[in-house]
Amino acid sequence: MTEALYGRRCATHELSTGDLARMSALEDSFRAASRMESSLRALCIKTHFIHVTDGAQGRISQTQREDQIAVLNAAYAPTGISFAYDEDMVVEVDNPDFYRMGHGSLRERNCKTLHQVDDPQKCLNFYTAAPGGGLLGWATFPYMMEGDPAMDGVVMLDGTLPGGTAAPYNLGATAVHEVGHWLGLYHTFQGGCVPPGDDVADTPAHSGPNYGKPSDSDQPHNLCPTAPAGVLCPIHNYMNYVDDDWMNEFTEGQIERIWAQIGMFRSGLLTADNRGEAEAAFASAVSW
Amino acid sequence: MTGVALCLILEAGFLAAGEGGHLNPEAVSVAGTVLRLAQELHANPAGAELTLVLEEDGSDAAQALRAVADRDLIGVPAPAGAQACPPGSRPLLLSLRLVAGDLRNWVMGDARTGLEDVSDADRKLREELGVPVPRRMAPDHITGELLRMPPSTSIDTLHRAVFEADQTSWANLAGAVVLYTENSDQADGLRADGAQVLSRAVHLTRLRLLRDPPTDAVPLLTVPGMVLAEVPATETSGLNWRDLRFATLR
Ligand SMILES: [Zn+2]
Repeated sequence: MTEALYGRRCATHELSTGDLARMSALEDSFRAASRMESSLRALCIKTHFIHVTDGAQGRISQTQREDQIAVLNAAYAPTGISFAYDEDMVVEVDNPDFYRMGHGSLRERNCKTLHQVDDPQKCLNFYTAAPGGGLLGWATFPYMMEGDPAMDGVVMLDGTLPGGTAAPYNLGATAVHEVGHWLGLYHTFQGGCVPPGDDVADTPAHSGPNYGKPSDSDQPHNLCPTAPAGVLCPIHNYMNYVDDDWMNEFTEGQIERIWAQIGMFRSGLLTADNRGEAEAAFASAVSW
Repeated sequence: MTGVALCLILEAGFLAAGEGGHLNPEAVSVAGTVLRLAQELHANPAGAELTLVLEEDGSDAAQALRAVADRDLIGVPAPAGAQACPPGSRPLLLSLRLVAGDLRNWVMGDARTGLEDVSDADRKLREELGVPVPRRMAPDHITGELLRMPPSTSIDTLHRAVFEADQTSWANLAGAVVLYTENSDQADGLRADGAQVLSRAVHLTRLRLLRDPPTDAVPLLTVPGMVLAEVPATETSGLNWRDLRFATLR
């Protein structure tokens, strides 16, 4: 069913690229070739929590996991994507070195190689740790999975989960942001004012991140000078750097990009099991 | 792999921007950032490669950088241009002026006034490469360690510290060298070598050098006529760390 979902698929190995211009062209041709109706976009992503701890430090409660999944589900509701997890599959890794893994470090690679829970093609591996240096989290991009599946997933500072200690970043929005990258989104300030920016048409380019709670009355903030009159800086977008309670939107263009990126690089997520009723609806809506 | 291969060329002259021929610590910071990113990409085969090429002009600044970064740098005689880059890589010139032609060009400062626009070098390079950018807290939430370096500290030691960790910077306040680092391994090493702790967790955005600190300030170091203190975010008098970063006040 996955093949038919998007019509003709390109060979994945041709697509493995971080080259923005090539990615943009590939996405355009992919969209032109794909046949997916927006009403049929539905997907439930199985999420596996891997909590890296140093003894009691870094432990995450069941309530926090449930609240994090609820925050993800609320944020991604407009995309047709939801998240679910199984409490029996939660893993705790007590390792003081891994707990302090830095981004791109050998510790990160060793930890993930040893403790990735499930096939990254079919699910989200969601790590928590304490990387230090003011880091809140990071994610791998979809195009990277084929070449480096062991590293796939998101890593979150443990204090960013709902109820955590990392205020004002403790309402679970960091996970929404990082999962956005994991599904193929760039920052709204990607590339500053140089096209193609984040390659999403309805997120106006701005020169760099916004922090805190930038005022709605002080618009347009750091919007690029090329923006047409009346356009606003995306200070409430999940892919900006504002406080958790200031983030509340994905745009239509971002939703389009997420689905194109899934189709190009994460089609393994589109199993009948993950798609549930949407799969059945799709099967009955398409005749050939 | 078909990811981006980027080749950064550091223009001759870049290293001494605004420093009268001496090595600019901001340039050391940029070189360290680029080399760390290159090493990270090399260790993680997700499709991007980064090479740093230094145009050698035989200057004191180039030699001083070699002293801290020798084994990791490809040095070529200036003007090297894109010919020095590995085959198939995309050249990007970091320079002090806009260079005409096909070469992509990131103007990072001015030969007379020094380097600017370097604080986000890591993020901008990651964006250029299309690789993940780890998210950091807003600067006013981040703390680091503030150390007073031993009086015998050489400029090479300071350059090496700046080269080794992204956020490290220092200021010479009337002979007292104060160093800020967010890298705990680095702080451990410097303390072992005799650095004195002024604060284990200071907000860099709240550090100010003042004549008359407010009553709610936390004084960290007194120099003739001035106090370096951590002050409430609302305080605006005196000099902040952006003014002091890599500066020598006499
Ligand atoms: Zn991000």
